[in-house]
Amino acid sequence: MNLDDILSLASDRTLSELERARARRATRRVQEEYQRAVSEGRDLTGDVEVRDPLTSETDEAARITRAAQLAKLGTVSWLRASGQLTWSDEMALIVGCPPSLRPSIPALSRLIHPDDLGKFRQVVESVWRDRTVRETTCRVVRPDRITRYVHCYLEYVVDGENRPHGIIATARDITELELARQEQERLARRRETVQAELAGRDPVTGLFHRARFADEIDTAQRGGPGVLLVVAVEPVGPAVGPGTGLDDTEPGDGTDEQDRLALAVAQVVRRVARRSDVCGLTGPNEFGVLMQRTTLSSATALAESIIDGIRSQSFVLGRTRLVDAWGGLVRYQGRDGSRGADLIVDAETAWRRARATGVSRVALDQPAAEDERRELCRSRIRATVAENRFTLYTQPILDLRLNQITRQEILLRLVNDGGQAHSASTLLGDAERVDEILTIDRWVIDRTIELIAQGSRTSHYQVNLSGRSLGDPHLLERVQQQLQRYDVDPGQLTFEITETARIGNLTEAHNFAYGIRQLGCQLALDDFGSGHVPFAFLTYFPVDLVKVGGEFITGIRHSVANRGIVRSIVEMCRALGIRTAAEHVEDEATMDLLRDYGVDFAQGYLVGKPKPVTGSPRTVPAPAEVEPDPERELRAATG
Amino acid sequence: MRSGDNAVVRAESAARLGDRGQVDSEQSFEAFCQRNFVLVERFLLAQCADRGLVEDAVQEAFITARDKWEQIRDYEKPLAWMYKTARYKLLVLHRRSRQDTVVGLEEVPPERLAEPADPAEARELLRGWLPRLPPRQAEVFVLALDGWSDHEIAGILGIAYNTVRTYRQEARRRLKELAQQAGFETPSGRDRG
Repeated sequence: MNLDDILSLASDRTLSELERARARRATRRVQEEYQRAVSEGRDLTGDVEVRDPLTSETDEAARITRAAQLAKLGTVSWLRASGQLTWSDEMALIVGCPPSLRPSIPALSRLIHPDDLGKFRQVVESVWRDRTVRETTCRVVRPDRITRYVHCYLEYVVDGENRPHGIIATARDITELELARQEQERLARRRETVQAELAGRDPVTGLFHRARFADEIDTAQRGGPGVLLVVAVEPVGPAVGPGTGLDDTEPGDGTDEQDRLALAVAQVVRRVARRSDVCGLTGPNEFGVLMQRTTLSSATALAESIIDGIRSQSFVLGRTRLVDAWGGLVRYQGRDGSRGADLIVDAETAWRRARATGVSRVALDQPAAEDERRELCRSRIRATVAENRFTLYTQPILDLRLNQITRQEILLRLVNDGGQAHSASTLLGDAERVDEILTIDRWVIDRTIELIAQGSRTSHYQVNLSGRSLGDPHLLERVQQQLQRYDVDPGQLTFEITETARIGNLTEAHNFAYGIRQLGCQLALDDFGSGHVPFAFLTYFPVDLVKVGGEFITGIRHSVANRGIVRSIVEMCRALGIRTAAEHVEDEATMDLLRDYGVDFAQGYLVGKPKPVTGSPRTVPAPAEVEPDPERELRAATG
Repeated sequence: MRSGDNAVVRAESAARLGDRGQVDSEQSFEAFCQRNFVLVERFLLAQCADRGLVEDAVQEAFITARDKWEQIRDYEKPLAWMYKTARYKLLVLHRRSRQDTVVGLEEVPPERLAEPADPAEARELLRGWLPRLPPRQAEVFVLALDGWSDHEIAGILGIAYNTVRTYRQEARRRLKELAQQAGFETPSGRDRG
């Protein structure tokens, strides 16, 4: 069967029995309605043309004009013989001119929006040339400067002898329609570019991140009392010797091992927790369980089962390992003023106390007092710095112009009691909050400059610096002293400013920024687009480099939104004389895209993973080469 | 296509019955209405999916026809006037109900459907494809399918003769594409009876 078969079927005009019955009913109704209209004295033909549409009429233009008039459409006609334009009253109304005005081609051209005029002319020319019909929409700028969208049919008309006669345009103001169409298009695009759900889950375990988990606690607290549990886990194994600083069985940053452990523990936590409990990943190897409407004792019992569950299981982490676990619980009343983030800190304090005192869990009857919490946090950070429980990693950065690694970012890692290095993000977050970040930043700057002194003189290093620390009046001096002490070229160093929202004293920060550049160092902004940097910041802060937040780079190939944002950031930065870098580059296709956009630097697993610093051979033995990242499925299967 | 003309002929012969008295006029109008109400409806349904609105428009058009029947019955083809007027009534109703904010259909290939077994199914199939054509092309095509000549279509729709020819060809080309996408592309099925 093809189109012709379908058409010949469809053109059958025989009425079915049903249709005939319907036609009879309709006829009756027409008669009734007609009688009623007559008795009411209604005018039935006022707006209708009573004229046989098939009477042969030689003047097509006149016929089309009349039909348009009836349908309240405007017309403009051009006749070849006279070369004159004529328009209908309706047409004059559409373009906002008095109907008495005689239209001319130049006058009409002036009414069409300059950007649409070229296309309109082309359409008119093709109608005449190809003896056909075309339609087009253009903007009309009325004499009062108001712009309307006008749709036109442009028809080629002939005279009685089928000779070319002229062109007639039938026009309609479709502004409302066009705006509705544009709005529909915009909404479709918006649906495509906005996520229905807030981000905030850990990709490996699917649990809420710390910040999102804290939000969940805040929400739950409004609903009444409950208990927050934080469970910390740590592999225990014979291979770990004290004092080595690093677990030598797992070279590299140990990300794979941590992911596997996190996934396995998350499964235990989920299995034991009640269905209504909310689970989160509050930090590396740290799991939160939020239990609404429960007593401290039943929450403690649940904590025991989780801890026992973890301790009784051996995990395959490269090799079979046992894992120890501690729990910290804190009871909240709801509406007692403690924020979710504070409660997490309290529960963490509790599990640390449990580990320190050799018990499996510690339960707090109520949240800590604010002062007490701050003080505890501060002393823990100071102790971490004093005990030198940090280590530095470096991650290579590719210069896309040269396709060569020319830079390294210095990353801070925390070393736990088991000797494992892991992310310091939670500690850094706490330090920001209790205003103790400068202590850490100083440590990092000192070590970094020392490291540069030991490394190659041509390499460039990027080191993170909290916006909070920029306000410190002595920081600039300290950098200068260290550079001199180790005889390091300031041109080898870029400071990446993080947490710009926490810049307290903008004047001090400004002084630091100009001072540090005067020394010869460069300035970068970290996580641009995800953090809280107003665009204006770029105009008064002497930034040399902007690092686009990794969240825009991950999945950029499948996200119209991310592509639009990254392209615009790069373009804006180029106009301001700022270079751009992209983080989280994990595949070639993404790299190609970034190259196309003109991004200057790329960083991520494709370029290289973070590695422990090897520049200090006196203390740390050079670790073996990092193994390639195994399949994610494998990682998931090991739980 | 011939069957379309037959219906018109039938309508006309009904209209010419007997002398021109009041009763006969009434009778001829009723015969005309009964024969053509559904046909006019079909024409409008090809461009508007809202059956209620279409029915109202057709009814109003026939009421007007009833009012001017003495004049209209003398036209060579009163049905042409009926089509033109019903189309105009639909336009007025559309504007009144602000339904002319047509939403653009997404360009997805048409569904593969079963072969139509009777005229009603064939029309239903066609009705699914017509909204994918520019509205004027769809109108021209439906009238051509109904057996109207290009000059007649130009008169009914109030457009140029050349326009009708162009639209008829473009509509056919596009419908052929749609039919093929829907799986109707066997060279010919006529021999199957």
